[in-house]
Amino acid sequence: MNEVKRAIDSGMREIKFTKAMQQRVLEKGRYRKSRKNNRYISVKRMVPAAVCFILCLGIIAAGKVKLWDKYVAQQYNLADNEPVQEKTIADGLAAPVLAAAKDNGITVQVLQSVASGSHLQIYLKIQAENEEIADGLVDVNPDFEISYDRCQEFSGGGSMENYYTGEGMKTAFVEERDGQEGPDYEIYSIYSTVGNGELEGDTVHLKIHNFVGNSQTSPDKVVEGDWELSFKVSADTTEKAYVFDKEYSIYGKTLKLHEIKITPTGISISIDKASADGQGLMDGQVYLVSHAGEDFLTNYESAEWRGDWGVPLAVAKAWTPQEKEAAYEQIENGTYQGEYIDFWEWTKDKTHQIVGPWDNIQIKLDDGTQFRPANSSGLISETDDCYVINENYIGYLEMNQVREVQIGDCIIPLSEGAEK
Amino acid sequence: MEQNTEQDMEKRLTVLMNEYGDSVLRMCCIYLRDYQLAEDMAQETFLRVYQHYGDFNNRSSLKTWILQIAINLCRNQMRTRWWKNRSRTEIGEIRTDEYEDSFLEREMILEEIGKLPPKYKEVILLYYYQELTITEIAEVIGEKESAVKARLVRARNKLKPELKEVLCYE
Repeated sequence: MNEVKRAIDSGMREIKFTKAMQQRVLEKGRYRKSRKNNRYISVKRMVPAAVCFILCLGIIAAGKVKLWDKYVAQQYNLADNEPVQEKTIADGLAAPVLAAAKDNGITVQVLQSVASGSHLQIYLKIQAENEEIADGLVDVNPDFEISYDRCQEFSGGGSMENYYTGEGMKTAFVEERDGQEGPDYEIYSIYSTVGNGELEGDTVHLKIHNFVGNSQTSPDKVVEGDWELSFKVSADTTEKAYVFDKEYSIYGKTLKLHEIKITPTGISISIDKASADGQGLMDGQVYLVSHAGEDFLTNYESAEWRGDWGVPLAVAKAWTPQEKEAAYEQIENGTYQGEYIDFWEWTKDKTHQIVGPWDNIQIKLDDGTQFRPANSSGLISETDDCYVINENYIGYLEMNQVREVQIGDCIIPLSEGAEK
Repeated sequence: MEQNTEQDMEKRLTVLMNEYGDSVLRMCCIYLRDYQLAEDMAQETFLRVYQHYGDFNNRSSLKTWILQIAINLCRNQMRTRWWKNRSRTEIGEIRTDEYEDSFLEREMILEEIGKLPPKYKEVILLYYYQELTITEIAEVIGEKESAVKARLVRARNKLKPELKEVLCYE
């Protein structure tokens, strides 16, 4: 027996898979089997059957019919704040949507939409008809497209994230409540940012084509199906805008800030193009990596590919094609110049931290607290004169309480700007 | 007839739980560093075996298949938003469970392995604890054998020197 096995077995000798656990497995297995649907529906159909989907035109529930969906309200820190929930529904920020589509035993329902400024977030409830299908949905994400009748979709399909509901959905769709099992659901959300046009009143079309496996762990997995949903967007059109036209220093680079706009769920920062060009800061692919206190500018696109991560940008740019290939080969093998490099770990460990200037925007409130909810999406669009950094937050922002905005290492008091 | 089949299945499952239950539970415990979750994942592993035994195609050994289910369940667990939120704030300080306090801290080997990033922890646990071959590990984690070998080397390099010496790797 090797040392590891000995250490684990002796060190954890009291940790045993007991008879009681065995019994629970058997009982639960019997129970699941008893409620198994006799009509087995293959999740991954060998021959695609005729696609059968229900297309529903969503209807925005009128007025103060109900408060936010409980789960979504929690995400926005509004679960216990009914007055604000009511206000946001009246303002058009949050809207329950009655749109659902079903295919291949899976129902996709729009639970709620949240829209303000140029940002729309759609919360989807994904529910499987039976356990076989639910099992197939573990470790998959929807492959989707989003479009509008009037607005131009800017974020290229947005991003989708799967949320843990905290209600027992640990590994599958089935949860157990007080000994009673029933099909559970997963909640996904989609961000979308529009490049032009007004979201309010526009019709959004969401097409989901297949649930595809996690690219790292289940790359070949596909749960087939087509789900199409359309609904009219209800958006909160209130915003606060401040004009600055002043120079600020961000990570040692000087640029001219034109304007900051704040909405209940997002912020847009306009930077003068002429002041920013040539400094690398406005290149959305250029990120800053802090490694044990020493900063490196690095190329995001390559990083995603496990390329230049952590390699000083100046060095990477000076590589010949052969040098680049050799460096990539080293990195793919796990090290660069003797140092271990791995994209995912670099984003997490204590010595390597991504601090892209546009990924590090914080909103400071009057009470001294900082507003930077758990999730944000940063996108850079442009007008003729400005680059516009759009950050969309999951969380509700009281616009009147905002005092400062921090971009990277630069703190900008709103009092230095003129409110429009 | 069907009842007999079901009884046979339960007998087979009981044999499997007796044979692999402890090691699956302990592996999940080190992987997740959380006893309660490990217990859930270990039970869910055998529940999946129960449900999908008919799908087992004998391409791999039963042990490899069971470990593959367990590893996938642990990975899924670590991908949940709940886990990520917890990890972000409490990583390294999670070990409040009485089991972990009494065992993992006491044993340098367990502590060191427990601290490894998941992908290294996986290969160390599968190679040294579950005593799978490189080929079997490749099957369990869905990587090429060369990647498994490289990962084992890197995993060892991340461990303390005194521990590296006890881990022989051919």
